[in-house]
Parts: sequence; C-alpha cells; structure tokens
Amino acid sequence: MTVWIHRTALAAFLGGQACLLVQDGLPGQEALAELGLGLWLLRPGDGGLHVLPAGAPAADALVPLPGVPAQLVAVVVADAAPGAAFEAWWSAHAPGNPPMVVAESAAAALPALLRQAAERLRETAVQAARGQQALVAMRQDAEQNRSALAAMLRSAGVSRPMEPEPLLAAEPLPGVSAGPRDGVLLLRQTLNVMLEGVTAVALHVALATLGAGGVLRVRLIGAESDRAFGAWQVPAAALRPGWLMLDLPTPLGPVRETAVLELATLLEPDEELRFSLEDALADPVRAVEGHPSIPARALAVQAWTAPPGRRCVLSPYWDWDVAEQVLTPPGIAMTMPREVWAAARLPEQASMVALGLGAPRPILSLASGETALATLPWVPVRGHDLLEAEVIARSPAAEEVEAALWLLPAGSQPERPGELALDAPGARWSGWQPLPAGRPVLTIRLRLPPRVPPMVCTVLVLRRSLGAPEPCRVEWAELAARRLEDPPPEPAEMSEATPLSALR
Amino acid sequence: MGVMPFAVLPAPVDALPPGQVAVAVVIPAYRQPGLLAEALASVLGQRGNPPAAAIVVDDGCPTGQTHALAGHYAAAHPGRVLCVRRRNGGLSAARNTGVEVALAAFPACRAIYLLDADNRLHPPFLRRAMAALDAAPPRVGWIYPDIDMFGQPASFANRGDYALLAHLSDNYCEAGSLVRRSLFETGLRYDEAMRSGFEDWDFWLQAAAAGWRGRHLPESGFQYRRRPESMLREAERMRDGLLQHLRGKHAALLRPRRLLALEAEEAPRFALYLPDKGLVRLQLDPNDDDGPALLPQAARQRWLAAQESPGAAFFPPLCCFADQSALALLCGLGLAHGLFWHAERLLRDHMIVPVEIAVADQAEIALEVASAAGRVATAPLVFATTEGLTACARDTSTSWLDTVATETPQPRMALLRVTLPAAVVPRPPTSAAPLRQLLLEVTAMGRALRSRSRVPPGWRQDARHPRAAMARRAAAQVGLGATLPRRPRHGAREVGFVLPLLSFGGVERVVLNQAAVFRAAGWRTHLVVAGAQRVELLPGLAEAFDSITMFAGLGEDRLDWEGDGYFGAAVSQFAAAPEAPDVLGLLAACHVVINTQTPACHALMAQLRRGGTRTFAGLHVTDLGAWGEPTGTPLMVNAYEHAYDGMLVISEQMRSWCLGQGIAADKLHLVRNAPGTPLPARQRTALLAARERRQAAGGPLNLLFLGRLDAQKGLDRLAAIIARTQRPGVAWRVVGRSVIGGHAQPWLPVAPEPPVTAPEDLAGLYAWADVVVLPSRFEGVPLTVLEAQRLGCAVIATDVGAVREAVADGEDGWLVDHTLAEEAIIARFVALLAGTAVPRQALLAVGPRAAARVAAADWSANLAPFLAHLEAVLATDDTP
Repeated sequence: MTVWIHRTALAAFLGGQACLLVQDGLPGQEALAELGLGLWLLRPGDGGLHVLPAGAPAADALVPLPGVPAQLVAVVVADAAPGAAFEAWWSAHAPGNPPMVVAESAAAALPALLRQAAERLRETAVQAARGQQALVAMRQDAEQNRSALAAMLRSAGVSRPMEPEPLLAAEPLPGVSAGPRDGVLLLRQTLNVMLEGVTAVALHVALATLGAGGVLRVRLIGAESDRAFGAWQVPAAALRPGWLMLDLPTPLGPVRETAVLELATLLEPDEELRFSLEDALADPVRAVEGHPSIPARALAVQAWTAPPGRRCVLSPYWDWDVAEQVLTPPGIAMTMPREVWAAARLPEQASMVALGLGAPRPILSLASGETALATLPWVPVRGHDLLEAEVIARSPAAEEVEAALWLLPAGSQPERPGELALDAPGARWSGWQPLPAGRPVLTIRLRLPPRVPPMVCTVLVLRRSLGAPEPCRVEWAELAARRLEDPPPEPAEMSEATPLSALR
Repeated sequence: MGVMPFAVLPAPVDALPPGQVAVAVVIPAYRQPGLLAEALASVLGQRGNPPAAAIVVDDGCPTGQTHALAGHYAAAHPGRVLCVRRRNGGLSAARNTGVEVALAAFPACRAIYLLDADNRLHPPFLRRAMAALDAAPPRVGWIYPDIDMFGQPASFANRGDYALLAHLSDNYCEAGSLVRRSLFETGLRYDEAMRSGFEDWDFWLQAAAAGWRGRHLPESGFQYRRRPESMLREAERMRDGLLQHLRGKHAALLRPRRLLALEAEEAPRFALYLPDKGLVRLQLDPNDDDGPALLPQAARQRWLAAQESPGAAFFPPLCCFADQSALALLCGLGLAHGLFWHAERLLRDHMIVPVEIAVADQAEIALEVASAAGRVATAPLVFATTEGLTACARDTSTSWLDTVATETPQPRMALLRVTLPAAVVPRPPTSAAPLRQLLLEVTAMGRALRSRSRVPPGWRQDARHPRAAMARRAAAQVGLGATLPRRPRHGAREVGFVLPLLSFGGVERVVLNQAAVFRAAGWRTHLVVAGAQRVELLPGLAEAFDSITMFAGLGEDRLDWEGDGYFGAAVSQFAAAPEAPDVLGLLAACHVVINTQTPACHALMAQLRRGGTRTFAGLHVTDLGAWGEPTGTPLMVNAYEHAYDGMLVISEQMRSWCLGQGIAADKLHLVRNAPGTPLPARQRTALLAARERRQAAGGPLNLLFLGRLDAQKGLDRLAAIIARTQRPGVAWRVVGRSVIGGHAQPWLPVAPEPPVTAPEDLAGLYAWADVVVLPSRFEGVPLTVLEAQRLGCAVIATDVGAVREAVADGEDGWLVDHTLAEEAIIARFVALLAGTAVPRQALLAVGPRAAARVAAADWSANLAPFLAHLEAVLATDDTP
C-alpha cells in the first residue's frame, strides 16, 4: 500500500508546522481546523491512501509520500480499517508508531488531541530548558577559552617580538605594472597561501601621483568565506614608489583560507597609481585580476608570517572598521611599524641605523650641554592607554643623559625644545628621566589621553649635562603602545605634564 | 576575531515558496542532532542567490531530538527547511529520500547539494557552486569542492580538470557536491545496499559511466568535520573489500578498451615532439594525429603546470622526439605501436631510448635492443621520460646531459634497432633534429622553471596521485602493465592474433589469411609474435595487420614440464612472470584474441577474458611425440579450455577430437583452410591449360615436395621415395627449409631449393609439378595440398590428421595408409609414382577433379560463420 500526496502539497506537509492528519469525512472535522494546527486529510484513493490539505483542491500530480513530517501531532481516524492500513504503511516507511487517535468524531477526539498537544508542549519545554543549560555550558566554556587565549596572547606578547618569517616574495619587474582603468583601480591578487599566521603583506608601488585626499583601500580577504581579515586605508602621502608595508595588528590565527589581496581606489584624471608586476610569469589563475597582461603576471607582492601573538604592530593604515580583528589583550606591547620610523624627523647630528632585520631606528649624538629632539609625527595609538619608549645608550657617559617623551597633536613637527608646549589638545609629557646608572636601557612610559585620537605625534627629547667633551650616542630603540588592564581614572590633579612614573 | 559565520543564524524571514527554491540541500540526519543545527545554520546563512532550502532526512534516528530540532527549524524558517522522517535505511537511502522530496516538492530547483549533518559551508558556497554549474556545459553533472577539515585540521586540494581516469583510483569528489537536477532525473541514485561507505564514490562512477562529468570549484569553502572516529574512518578500515566491490560493480569502466579510450582523451601517454612541424602532439596513439597539437611553448606551460601541481595538471609521462618521415614509415608498416610499447618498457630503466632504423637484404623485420653509445645523434626517434627531462631541466649544469651523443654517455640509455628489408627502405632514415630538439627543450624547460611566478599554485595538500600516473594506476587495477598505445575507435572491432613465430609455415599463412578476412570485414587486426623478435615479411603481411608487435624473453618460454602437467601437457607459468602484465597490455584492448600455437600464452587468456576480451585458440593439428604419443597444442589447450571462449578448428577431425576431450560443441568453430595465397582466376585457368598441354605432349613426370624440412614431414620417407623413383623421365624438386629443427635431417637425393613465399613463385612451382608428394607423419589440413590441388596437381599424401578431408582417395588425390609399416608406406608412394599401382594417366587424372573442387574454397566464406558468431556475442558486451 502506498500513501500518496499531491506534489504541490509536499513541501507544506514536510514544512515543520505542527499538524493533524484526519481521516476525511470524520464528523465535525472542520472544527479541528480551529485548533491552529495544520489540518491534513487522509482519504482512500487510487493506489492507496491520499494525503491532501484540508480545503485545497486536488489538482496536481501525486507522488508517493517518502516519509512522515517531524511535527505530526496526531492521526485521527474514525474507522479501524484505514487506520490499520496507515499504521502498516508507517511501520514500513517511518520509525516508531504513528500517533493514532481513534474517535467517532472530531469532538470525541479533542481530549486525546489535547493530551497529545500537552505532551508535545511538555517535551518542547524540557528541550528548551536543556537547550538553555547547554547554552550556559557553552558560554562558560567559551569564556574560559577566551580567558585562556587572552592569557596566552599576553604571555606571547610580552616576549620580544619575533622577526616575521617570509612566506612569499614575488619581486618586481621594473617598468611593468598594473594600474587603473577609466579612473578606477580595482585589482585582485590571490596569494595562494593560507592565511594562518600572516602578519604583514607588502605591495610594490611603481608610480603614485595622488592628490592629498586620495586613499588606497587594501583588503586581505579569505577567498573561501569572502571575509576581510585585514584592511588598510593608505593615504596618498604614504604612497611612494617602492614597497608599501601593510602590517596586521597581530598574526592571524588558524584561518584555513586562501589569502587574496584586493586593491581599490578612484583616481582623478591627473592622478596615477600603478603597482609593479612580478618579474616572473604566472598562469592565468595566479595572475593579477583587473589588469589584463600578456604574458600573465602576478603583482609583485610579499607576505610574512609570525606565530600567534609574537608580533604585534600598530599599522597607521589599519582600518579598524572593516577588518575583523579585535584589540589585543591588555598588557601587550604593540610596536610601531617600519613606516612610522621611516617618517622620523631628526636633527642633523642624528642618523637612522638598522640592526639586523629590524626597521632603522634613530641614533642621536649629544655633545656636552646639548639638547636634541627626535620626532615621530604620525604614531597610531587608537584604543590604547599607554606609550612606552625604549632608549638605549650606545656609548659611555650615558648617565649624564636625561630623556623625556612628549605627546603632541598628530603631524606636529617641532624642531627645537622651545616649540614643545602643553597647550595643544592632548599634549603631555613624561618629565625628565635619567638614563639609569649601570643599565643602558631606559623605558619611558607616558599615559595617553582618555579620548585618544587615532594618531599622535611623539617626540623624544634628550639633554646632556655639562661634563665630558666627547659626544654621547643614544638610540631610540622602540616605541610601543599598550592597553592597560584596568586603567585608573585620570586624577583631576594629574596635569597634562604628569609623568607616567607617577602612576606606578 | 568575529563570530564564525557558521553559527550566525539569520532571523526568520518570509516563507520561501516551494516554486522559488533553486537549490535543495539534502541533509541526512542520524544521531547528530547538535551538529545538525550547525549544518542547518550554515545553509540558512548562505549569502545571495540562489534561494536555497534544506531537506532534513531523519533516517530513523533513535533520538527524538533530531526530528524535534529539525521540526523547530522548519517551523522557524517556513519553506526554507523541510523535515522528513523515514525508517532507517542508511546514508544512501536517506540521501535518496531527500532527493525524491527535492525533485517532487521544488519544481524550479536546478540542483541538489548533499550536506552531511556534521559538515558545514561558508556563506558564499552555494552561490559560487550554482554559478559554476550554470556556467558549465550540460554534461557537467556535479560541482565538487576542495576539502577543508576542521576538528583535526587538514586541507586537501582537488583542483584541476575532472579526470575520470584518476577517479577510478582516487575518490576526490566529496559527497558534499552540488548535483545537477537533470542528473538525478535520469534515475541515478545512491546505492542503498552500500551501507559501509564509498557510496558517494560509487554514485560518481555511476554518473561518469552514464557520461556525466564533474567540475572543481576552487576556494569553495566546504568544511568537513574530521574526528578520529567516523563513518569514513570505518570505511577506510574496510577499504580493500569496498574497493573490490566497486571494481566489480564498475567493471565496464575498467575494461581495458575503455581505459585506453579514457587515456587518449584525458591523459595521452606521449608528448610527440615533431621538429619538422614545430609542433608537439599529446597523444596516446602514434598513428593518430587527432591529439592536441601545441606549439612547444604552450606544451611547456602544460608541463610546467604538471610539475607544480602533479595531482592537478597533466603532462604526458613519456616524450618522443621524432622525425616525421621515419615515424610515418614505422606507422605505415604497423610497427609504431609495438615500438612505442618497447620504448615505454625500456624507459623504466633508461632515461633515453633512441631508435635506429637499419636496412638488411633479408625479407624480414627485426627488432633488437643494443647499446646506444654513439647512436643517438642521428636517431630518427628519441624517447625520454618527462621525469628524466625535468630532472635535467632542474639541473643548472648541462654537462651531464651533453654527453648523451658521445661514445660514453652518462645518462642511462638503450638503443632500439629496427631492421627493415632493403626492398622496403632502400636507405636507413636518419635525422639530427630529434636529439637537437630534446636538448633545446631541456634548456627551455629549465628557463621556464626559473622564470615561474613565486605565487604558489596553492597551499592545500594534494593527496591525489600524480596525473601522469593515472592511466598506469588504472591499468594496474586490472592487472595490466604497459598497454599497447592504441586508441580504440568507436565502433571498430579489434582482433589480436598470437603466434609463436612468423615464418613461411602453413599455420602462419592460415593466420595471415584469417586476419585479412577480419580486416576486410572492418576489424582492426593485430599480430603479436610471442617468442621472436624477427618476422618474415611474408606476402600480404602488411595488408593483413594494422599492427605487428613482437617480443622475446619476457617469460613466454616459461613452460613447466615438471610433474604430470595436465595429462602430460605442459603447464604455462607465464602469468607469474613479472613481465606478464606488459604482455597482457598488448592484447587487453582487443575484442577478440586468437592464440594459435603459442603455448605459454594460454596462461594469459583467463585474465584477458576477465577484462572483457573473447579468447579463442586456433587448433590445427595434434602432433606426435618421440614415442608416437599425441602431443602439441590441442592437448595443452585442453588444459586451459576454461580460459577460452572457443576454439577454431580447421577440420572435422579436430572437432571430433575436441568433442572427445569433453569440450562443449558450441565452443568449437569449424573454420576450414583454403589455399594460402591468392591466385587470379585467369592465371589459374591459363596454368591449368598449360599443364594439360604439357602432359598431353608426353613431357617428363614432375614431382614436387614443398614444405618445412622438419621431421614431421616424413623426410626419411621422402629420401627413400626420391631415391627409388629417380630415373629418366622423372624430375624431382624439393623446396623448403627446416623451421623447427631439433632433429638431424636425412640426406636427400635432391638438393633442396630455398623456400618461396611469393604467390607468383608458388604458382610457378605448382604449375611445374604434376604430382605433389607429402609423406608426413602427422598433419592438419596442409595448405600445400589445397594450393597444389587448386593448380591441378595430383597429390599423394599419407592419410594422417585431416588430410582425408582434403583428399578423397582415388577421386581427387591419393592417400597412403599411415598405419602400414614404414617400408610399405614408402613402397606405396613408389608404386603410385612409378605407375605400377595405377597407370600414369589415372594417377594424374585426379588433378583436374581436385582443381574443380578447390576452386570453390574461400577464406571469407570459411570464416563467415565465425565472424557472425563474434558479432552476435560482442553485441551483448557492455563496452563498445
């Protein structure tokens, strides 16, 4: 025996609405429609029993009913015969037994239906309660995991940052580049590497003549999910021929997706922005999209990885609104990327010196009785509470040196101590701090304003008392921002000039 | 980091009418209610078109939580989630139920996605997969993803074009694929009897057998939950048994002919570099010219892609740098297939195999392997492995490869020397271009390697085997090694004839004539000589065969005479020889193989038969051993009768013998012999008339023995007969030479003349002769008798074998009772020849009567019933 259903009714029957299946002709069956359940009729027909929605015309082809719906509350039959036939069909096609109600009329079936409905309600309530319990358990589990992860990241972040490992290095071919079409630059380059651990990427700018308001948007996409794992807005001023470094705040976690870079900007007629292509040939799948090139080439691009939490960098271009990265846990030192240091303004007697693979750092030379300024005009600090500068004496007689860290509005470019003032919004300083005797390293901490702007200008001021005639060399070795675990409210008496050491 | 998208459940929206559902996602659910919610969320969280609905099939799950959860989702997302509960039937049955619901409930549904309840999808998945399916040609039936595993993380790439040949060995199409509705509408379903796993592999192979193909979706975003224990893990434990089941079920896909056709389409074995044309052809069959013809640079790009992603991209594993005219010459002689087969075998142990074509005065074709030192520079064909060339290309120093043309080459090389008759090739073809092209290509490969983008081809692990090996792996599944590189032609039948040698013997000429009839009937005919690398260039050979392959020393001599064998008949150990898979590969693609007197090859027939080849043995004669005991091919065939579909017997006598041995009558096909050489009717009439005039003029009595000078032919009797009948008025000629050898030849009073094979020479001999004498100790139905009769010779022969079926004593020839004592036999021959038994006129009068009878003998007519039988049985085969 087969139970048939009209093709057009199948989706509704299996669609999840709690329903009754009633033997067609049950006295008073119309009343059951008032119960708020879907009412379906069971009727003997060609080839077996037919299931059809109450009140709907039977105008469509029949198909065998492949199983039973999940929310069938009861099967109400008046006669044993169709009930038995239906039970037999059920036992062959569906698990368990059908929720049969045998009654002479709809009214007579109501008590049993009520009992069944009540039982269903009770089951649902039990399941809902269990679901809530499960949610609690999961939430606790998730919270524990988040705490553990934060602790791990803190632990990793307080270690000395690791040099990133090269993941991909596609070198530029001079004179061959990809650019805009009709004033729109829209390029897409698959890196065909896994996103896990990616900490920075770099693009090679071949030509950039953008007006002051121009911005290049770059996104690092997971190809499989289309999610943005990295996003940068690079201002026109930062777009110069050469490698454009784009750091992520922290290395990406275990993201098993394919890294894809998307570049986009609109250009005015007199503007130009082109990116170098690789000095090797690519198959079409790996070539840059958005700029047909023959033969096919990829963008010149580099990428680096680092272990989780072991390289935390505050890129000035990072677009916090797009990328799905949350702030790093409190306590982690977020170092400044190469381009922040590259913008340093230094006095004549200073130079930028690189040690190892790191970005070049300023080394200032101080004669007896001299004062010198090193300025980083654009330092990203958004969301952070504390700036830390590390100063290292690179020659003897450093104990005669004192240092101070100043915070000025972003873009400031003071050239002499007299230009340092606390009257600008958000300006503050750390006060003079001597390089400790016997230890060559001084760490200056400076609390950031409560409503910190995205960028500040940071100035390291060094002065040397009168003494030995030979010059003394001091390196501004590091600048980092940190979030504080529980930043104390800024005391009213704490002037803009209160040194950070007062907090300790 | 944000919330994982799989957990994001969109708020309930308006109901989705069934008529708008474009993709149905079928989710079988059994004992995984919690994970089911996640799978459902990933379906409901799909972004953009097409409108999708999930069908949860509760496969009789014992926990009520499954259908309750599915029901709740269905209630919360009307029209987007359906739930059907069914009695437990296993994964296949549950999927099939979901498919039935989808087909019935969603009339506008264009595709069905199969999602396991513990897996999940990234939000763009269905949009991309549907777009890929819409963009694909209609024969693309499913879109399959890469596999990113979570839980125990791992990622597997499935990129590259779909290749059925690879799919026969590796199931790289995940069950979680998007399947075109029309594929299901053809009735294809998951096999509900396969409850232990691999049912998805089986489904894809069913679809592939029906002509559907898959297509890969790059960066698809399919997420597979991997746990240490799972249904897949269980299936892997039972892998061998499940594979055996799959191979049995899909035997038609694994038929050697099918594999060769697939190889030609998906993985042509050779990159044929043609410097004359500046092209590279990728092809299986050297006789073909329909493979992709590429410029060398384009071919190099393919090679490069295959080097970077061996599991995803294909480049032929073997390269041949060929002079076009030399290749055409070998193809024209039917030698190219066999030569390429030999080269492939040699390339297993050698990096470079040059081919030299030599010329000799003898009318024979020979093949030998020799030292290649100093022979490669002008070789018209140079074979090399792609792997070897790649290794050279990676090596920035070329000094090693540069020694290849010197007398002390460092690369391991072997020379294949083909010797052809001067009558065919007056001067050996040579060319410096092939080696030059090889060296240039290696240089270009190296440059291409070094100028390749540093953007990698991908980051996922590719667990698949290299595509260059997929044809070999598929063939190995059915026990085949190197197969003859011959592309099956649709609708063309292929027949292979196996012989132990090809000389001027009668058996060879019978086979030659049978092959010619097959070929005239549209079959492609292939000769395999097992045990000799030298064949005589018999008249009609080139016309009879499409290909000629010969080999020796591969185990074809492995006959075990130890023990009792089968009633004393030897047992072949050839099947156990390491080279046997290669030899099987020579014949496996044939619809029919006829083994005529190649004893060791009996042991290969069972395997050929399993592969779909119809196997037959050609039975001509029961030999007599040293003790006079019956021996020879029929006895050995009797031992292997089970491996043969039938026997071709040339006589009633042989049929009776077979019946007596218990061979079923319907396995026996009587294919009578006919004269072995063609003779135009006008020439025949003229020669008969000339003899009549000569005999009427009272010329001498011309007596002829023609045949192999082997012991079987009764040479000692012949010597005595000649000695006793030599006198004035009687002229004797003996024509032939020993083929089998092994016995001391008696001195003959007449110096033997060398054998003749040309039809006109044979006709001249028979026209000269009045009487042909055949005092053999055993025979089948000698062609000499039929050919002599055709030209009116009186034949006197011992009454052995089935000679009686060709000679009616006293009517159209004379038979001598072979049961008589030796002296009596000789005396009877002498009496007939000397005119003491019958008058000379009566002796010769049988000739014209025989000529009249034999005039009707015809190979085509004799083979017609057998050909009709083959067509009938082959019509029921499952592979074309």
